[in-house]
Amino acid sequence: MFFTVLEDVEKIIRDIEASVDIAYYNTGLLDSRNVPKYNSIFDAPNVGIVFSGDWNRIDDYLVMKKNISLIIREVPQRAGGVKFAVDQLFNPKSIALKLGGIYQEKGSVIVAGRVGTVSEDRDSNELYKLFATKIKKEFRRIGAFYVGKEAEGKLKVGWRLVTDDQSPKEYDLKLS
Amino acid sequence: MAVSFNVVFSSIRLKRICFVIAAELESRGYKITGGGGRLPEEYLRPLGGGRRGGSYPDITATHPNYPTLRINTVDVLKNGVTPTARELRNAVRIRAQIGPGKHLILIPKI
Repeated sequence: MFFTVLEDVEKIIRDIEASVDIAYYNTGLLDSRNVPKYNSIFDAPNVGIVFSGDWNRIDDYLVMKKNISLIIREVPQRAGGVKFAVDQLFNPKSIALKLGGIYQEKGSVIVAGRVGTVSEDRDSNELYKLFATKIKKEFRRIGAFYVGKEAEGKLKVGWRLVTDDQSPKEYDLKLS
Repeated sequence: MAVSFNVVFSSIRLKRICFVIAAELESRGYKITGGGGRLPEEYLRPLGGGRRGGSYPDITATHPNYPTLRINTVDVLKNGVTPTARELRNAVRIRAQIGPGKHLILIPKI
Protein backbone atom coordinates (compact mmCIF):
# COMPACT_ATOMS: atom_id res chain seq x y z
CA MET A 1 0.00 0.00 0.00
CA PHE A 2 1.37 3.36 -0.91
CA PHE A 3 0.78 7.03 -1.49
CA THR A 4 2.12 8.43 -4.69
CA VAL A 5 1.79 11.17 -7.24
CA LEU A 6 2.58 10.45 -10.85
CA GLU A 7 6.15 11.80 -10.63
CA ASP A 8 6.94 9.31 -7.85
CA VAL A 9 5.86 6.22 -9.70
CA GLU A 10 6.46 7.01 -13.37
CA LYS A 11 10.06 5.82 -13.57
CA ILE A 12 9.34 2.70 -11.51
CA ILE A 13 6.56 1.60 -13.82
CA ARG A 14 8.39 2.51 -17.01
CA ASP A 15 11.33 0.36 -15.82
CA ILE A 16 8.99 -2.56 -15.11
CA GLU A 17 7.23 -2.19 -18.45
CA ALA A 18 10.64 -2.17 -20.17
CA SER A 19 11.67 -5.40 -18.47
CA VAL A 20 8.43 -7.44 -18.69
CA ASP A 21 5.81 -7.55 -21.42
CA ILE A 22 2.67 -6.79 -19.42
CA ALA A 23 -0.85 -5.60 -20.08
CA TYR A 24 -3.37 -3.86 -17.84
CA TYR A 25 -7.13 -4.51 -17.69
CA ASN A 26 -9.76 -2.55 -15.76
CA THR A 27 -11.19 -4.64 -12.94
CA GLY A 28 -14.82 -4.49 -11.94
CA LEU A 29 -18.31 -5.64 -12.71
CA LEU A 30 -18.76 -4.39 -16.24
CA ASP A 31 -21.75 -4.06 -18.54
CA SER A 32 -20.02 -5.66 -21.52
CA ARG A 33 -17.24 -8.05 -22.46
CA ASN A 34 -15.28 -5.19 -23.97
CA VAL A 35 -12.76 -4.78 -21.19
CA PRO A 36 -10.31 -1.95 -21.78
CA LYS A 37 -6.76 -3.26 -22.23
CA TYR A 38 -3.64 -1.09 -22.02
CA ASN A 39 -0.13 -2.06 -23.04
CA SER A 40 1.18 0.66 -20.74
CA ILE A 41 -0.47 2.09 -17.66
CA PHE A 42 0.26 5.49 -19.17
CA ASP A 43 -2.16 4.70 -22.00
CA ALA A 44 -4.98 4.49 -19.45
CA PRO A 45 -7.00 7.66 -18.93
CA ASN A 46 -6.33 9.97 -15.98
CA VAL A 47 -3.34 8.14 -14.51
CA GLY A 48 -2.27 9.86 -11.30
CA ILE A 49 -5.69 11.44 -10.80
CA VAL A 50 -8.67 9.93 -8.98
CA PHE A 51 -12.32 10.88 -9.09
CA SER A 52 -13.31 9.58 -5.68
CA GLY A 53 -11.87 10.05 -2.22
CA ASP A 54 -12.57 6.38 -1.41
CA TRP A 55 -9.83 4.05 -2.63
CA ASN A 56 -12.47 1.36 -3.20
CA ARG A 57 -13.98 3.51 -5.92
CA ILE A 58 -10.90 4.42 -7.94
CA ASP A 59 -9.49 2.73 -11.04
CA ASP A 60 -8.08 -0.72 -10.31
CA TYR A 61 -6.21 -2.85 -12.83
CA LEU A 62 -5.34 -6.49 -13.32
CA VAL A 63 -1.76 -6.74 -14.49
CA MET A 64 -0.51 -9.83 -16.30
CA LYS A 65 1.86 -10.91 -18.99
CA LYS A 66 0.64 -10.05 -22.48
CA ASN A 67 0.79 -13.65 -23.68
CA ILE A 68 -1.83 -14.72 -21.12
CA SER A 69 -5.48 -14.33 -22.03
CA LEU A 70 -7.84 -12.52 -19.70
CA ILE A 71 -10.73 -14.65 -18.46
CA ILE A 72 -13.97 -12.77 -17.93
CA ARG A 73 -16.65 -14.21 -15.61
CA GLU A 74 -20.29 -13.93 -16.53
CA VAL A 75 -22.41 -12.87 -13.55
CA PRO A 76 -26.18 -13.29 -14.04
CA GLN A 77 -28.02 -10.49 -12.29
CA ARG A 78 -31.04 -10.97 -10.02
CA ALA A 79 -32.56 -7.92 -11.63
CA GLY A 80 -32.10 -9.53 -15.05
CA GLY A 81 -29.33 -9.47 -17.61
CA VAL A 82 -25.69 -10.36 -17.22
CA LYS A 83 -22.65 -8.46 -16.03
CA PHE A 84 -19.01 -9.34 -16.61
CA ALA A 85 -16.54 -9.59 -13.75
CA VAL A 86 -12.83 -8.94 -14.15
CA ASP A 87 -10.76 -9.92 -11.13
CA GLN A 88 -8.19 -12.46 -9.96
CA LEU A 89 -10.63 -15.32 -9.35
CA PHE A 90 -10.18 -16.88 -12.81
CA ASN A 91 -6.95 -15.00 -13.56
CA PRO A 92 -4.46 -16.50 -11.11
CA LYS A 93 -1.42 -15.31 -13.05
CA SER A 94 -2.38 -11.68 -12.47
CA ILE A 95 -1.81 -9.10 -9.77
CA ALA A 96 -4.07 -6.21 -8.75
CA LEU A 97 -2.78 -2.66 -9.01
CA LYS A 98 -4.40 0.64 -8.18
CA LEU A 99 -2.18 3.69 -8.36
CA GLY A 100 -4.31 6.17 -6.45
CA GLY A 101 -3.22 9.76 -6.81
CA ILE A 102 -4.47 13.30 -6.47
CA TYR A 103 -8.18 13.70 -5.80
CA GLN A 104 -8.70 16.48 -8.26
CA GLU A 105 -12.17 17.50 -7.15
CA LYS A 106 -11.08 18.24 -3.59
CA GLY A 107 -7.46 19.29 -4.20
CA SER A 108 -4.76 18.84 -1.56
CA VAL A 109 -5.84 15.22 -1.05
CA ILE A 110 -3.93 12.12 -2.16
CA VAL A 111 -5.82 8.81 -2.21
CA ALA A 112 -3.79 5.67 -1.50
CA GLY A 113 -2.94 2.97 -4.03
CA ARG A 114 -2.16 -0.69 -3.61
CA VAL A 115 -0.42 -3.56 -5.31
CA GLY A 116 -1.34 -7.06 -4.20
CA THR A 117 -2.39 -10.54 -5.12
CA VAL A 118 -4.62 -13.27 -3.72
CA SER A 119 -3.04 -15.87 -5.97
CA GLU A 120 -0.33 -18.35 -5.11
CA ASP A 121 0.60 -18.81 -8.75
CA ARG A 122 4.30 -18.36 -9.53
CA ASP A 123 3.74 -15.79 -12.30
CA SER A 124 1.53 -13.72 -10.04
CA ASN A 125 4.05 -13.75 -7.23
CA GLU A 126 6.91 -12.84 -9.56
CA LEU A 127 4.97 -9.85 -10.86
CA TYR A 128 4.01 -8.82 -7.34
CA LYS A 129 7.62 -8.98 -6.17
CA LEU A 130 8.72 -6.91 -9.16
CA PHE A 131 6.37 -4.05 -8.26
CA ALA A 132 6.69 -4.36 -4.48
CA THR A 133 10.48 -4.50 -4.47
CA LYS A 134 10.84 -1.34 -6.52
CA ILE A 135 8.24 0.53 -4.49
CA LYS A 136 9.84 -0.51 -1.21
CA LYS A 137 13.23 0.55 -2.50
CA GLU A 138 12.20 3.97 -3.79
CA PHE A 139 9.55 4.97 -1.25
CA ARG A 140 9.80 5.71 2.45
CA ARG A 141 7.75 3.65 4.87
CA ILE A 142 5.43 5.63 7.13
CA GLY A 143 3.24 3.43 9.30
CA ALA A 144 1.87 0.65 7.11
CA PHE A 145 2.25 2.66 3.89
CA TYR A 146 5.07 3.42 1.49
CA VAL A 147 5.17 7.08 0.50
CA GLY A 148 6.80 8.57 -2.59
CA LYS A 149 9.09 11.57 -2.26
CA GLU A 150 6.70 14.03 -3.94
CA ALA A 151 3.73 12.70 -1.98
CA GLU A 152 5.70 13.05 1.26
CA GLY A 153 6.53 16.63 0.32
CA LYS A 154 2.84 17.36 -0.08
CA LEU A 155 2.10 15.68 3.27
CA LYS A 156 4.63 18.02 4.90
CA VAL A 157 2.86 21.09 3.54
CA GLY A 158 -0.53 19.97 4.81
CA TRP A 159 -2.07 17.75 2.15
CA ARG A 160 -4.30 14.92 3.40
CA LEU A 161 -3.11 11.39 2.56
CA VAL A 162 -6.16 9.14 2.88
CA THR A 163 -7.75 5.85 1.98
CA ASP A 164 -11.16 7.50 2.30
CA ASP A 165 -11.54 11.24 2.55
CA GLN A 166 -14.86 10.72 4.39
CA SER A 167 -13.14 8.88 7.25
CA PRO A 168 -12.28 10.96 10.34
CA LYS A 169 -9.06 12.96 9.90
CA GLU A 170 -7.52 10.94 12.74
CA TYR A 171 -7.14 8.17 10.16
CA ASP A 172 -5.14 10.28 7.72
CA LEU A 173 -1.48 9.39 7.30
CA LYS A 174 0.68 11.35 9.71
CA LEU A 175 4.43 11.88 9.70
CA SER A 176 5.82 9.83 12.57
CA MET B 1 5.05 -26.40 13.76
CA ALA B 2 2.46 -28.60 12.07
CA VAL B 3 -0.83 -26.94 11.18
CA SER B 4 -3.76 -28.91 12.56
CA PHE B 5 -6.49 -30.35 10.37
CA ASN B 6 -9.05 -28.14 12.14
CA VAL B 7 -7.15 -24.97 11.28
CA VAL B 8 -6.86 -25.96 7.62
CA PHE B 9 -10.49 -27.04 7.47
CA SER B 10 -11.66 -23.78 9.12
CA SER B 11 -9.63 -21.77 6.64
CA ILE B 12 -11.12 -23.60 3.65
CA ARG B 13 -14.62 -23.25 5.06
CA LEU B 14 -14.13 -19.52 5.67
CA LYS B 15 -12.90 -19.02 2.11
CA ARG B 16 -15.97 -20.86 0.84
CA ILE B 17 -18.32 -18.70 2.93
CA CYS B 18 -16.67 -15.52 1.63
CA PHE B 19 -16.81 -16.83 -1.93
CA VAL B 20 -20.56 -17.50 -1.67
CA ILE B 21 -21.31 -14.11 -0.08
CA ALA B 22 -19.26 -12.32 -2.74
CA ALA B 23 -21.12 -14.19 -5.50
CA GLU B 24 -24.45 -13.14 -4.01
CA LEU B 25 -23.35 -9.51 -3.84
CA GLU B 26 -22.18 -9.62 -7.45
CA SER B 27 -25.56 -10.95 -8.55
CA ARG B 28 -27.05 -7.85 -6.95
CA GLY B 29 -24.78 -5.50 -8.87
CA TYR B 30 -22.04 -5.00 -6.29
CA LYS B 31 -18.43 -4.83 -7.39
CA ILE B 32 -16.09 -6.72 -5.05
CA THR B 33 -13.15 -4.39 -4.46
CA GLY B 34 -11.47 -6.45 -1.75
CA GLY B 35 -11.53 -10.06 -0.55
CA GLY B 36 -13.97 -12.79 -1.56
CA GLY B 37 -11.09 -14.62 -3.26
CA ARG B 38 -11.27 -12.07 -6.05
CA LEU B 39 -8.90 -9.29 -5.00
CA PRO B 40 -6.61 -8.57 -2.03
CA GLU B 41 -8.50 -7.67 1.13
CA GLU B 42 -8.88 -3.99 1.95
CA TYR B 43 -6.67 -2.58 4.70
CA LEU B 44 -8.27 -0.24 7.23
CA ARG B 45 -5.76 2.01 8.95
CA PRO B 46 -5.47 2.10 12.73
CA LEU B 47 -6.39 5.25 14.62
CA GLY B 48 -3.33 7.44 15.16
CA GLY B 49 -1.18 5.70 12.55
CA GLY B 50 1.42 3.03 13.17
CA ARG B 51 1.06 -0.59 12.15
CA ARG B 52 -0.91 -2.09 15.05
CA GLY B 53 -4.70 -2.07 15.12
CA GLY B 54 -5.31 -2.20 11.38
CA SER B 55 -8.16 -4.33 10.04
CA TYR B 56 -8.82 -6.47 6.97
CA PRO B 57 -12.54 -6.95 6.30
CA ASP B 58 -13.26 -10.28 4.60
CA ILE B 59 -15.14 -8.56 1.78
CA THR B 60 -15.41 -4.96 0.60
CA ALA B 61 -17.97 -4.15 -2.08
CA THR B 62 -19.16 -1.03 -3.85
CA HIS B 63 -22.34 -0.30 -5.75
CA PRO B 64 -23.10 2.64 -8.03
CA ASN B 65 -26.20 3.54 -5.99
CA TYR B 66 -25.33 2.45 -2.45
CA PRO B 67 -22.61 3.12 0.14
CA THR B 68 -19.49 0.96 0.36
CA LEU B 69 -20.22 -2.29 2.17
CA ARG B 70 -17.83 -4.29 4.39
CA ILE B 71 -18.55 -7.82 5.50
CA ASN B 72 -16.73 -9.66 8.24
CA THR B 73 -17.31 -13.27 9.15
CA VAL B 74 -17.16 -13.68 12.92
CA ASP B 75 -16.93 -16.37 15.58
CA VAL B 76 -20.14 -16.59 17.57
CA LEU B 77 -21.25 -17.93 20.94
CA LYS B 78 -23.15 -21.21 21.31
CA ASN B 79 -26.44 -19.47 20.52
CA GLY B 80 -25.17 -19.17 16.96
CA VAL B 81 -25.88 -15.47 16.71
CA THR B 82 -23.99 -13.38 19.26
CA PRO B 83 -20.41 -12.50 18.25
CA THR B 84 -17.70 -13.37 20.75
CA ALA B 85 -16.24 -10.53 22.84
CA ARG B 86 -13.14 -10.47 20.65
CA GLU B 87 -15.17 -10.22 17.45
CA LEU B 88 -17.29 -7.47 18.97
CA ARG B 89 -14.18 -5.47 19.84
CA ASN B 90 -12.94 -5.90 16.28
CA ALA B 91 -16.32 -4.83 14.91
CA VAL B 92 -16.35 -1.69 17.05
CA ARG B 93 -12.85 -0.85 15.77
CA ILE B 94 -13.83 -1.40 12.13
CA ARG B 95 -17.04 0.59 12.62
CA ALA B 96 -14.93 3.55 13.78
CA GLN B 97 -12.40 3.09 10.97
CA ILE B 98 -14.87 3.12 8.08
CA GLY B 99 -16.50 6.40 9.01
CA PRO B 100 -20.09 7.58 8.79
CA GLY B 101 -22.54 6.35 6.17
CA LYS B 102 -20.66 3.12 5.41
CA HIS B 103 -22.06 -0.29 6.29
CA LEU B 104 -20.44 -3.14 8.21
CA ILE B 105 -22.22 -6.50 8.26
CA LEU B 106 -21.19 -9.35 10.57
CA ILE B 107 -21.93 -12.88 9.43
CA PRO B 108 -21.45 -15.97 11.66
CA LYS B 109 -18.68 -18.30 10.51
CA ILE B 110 -20.85 -21.39 11.20
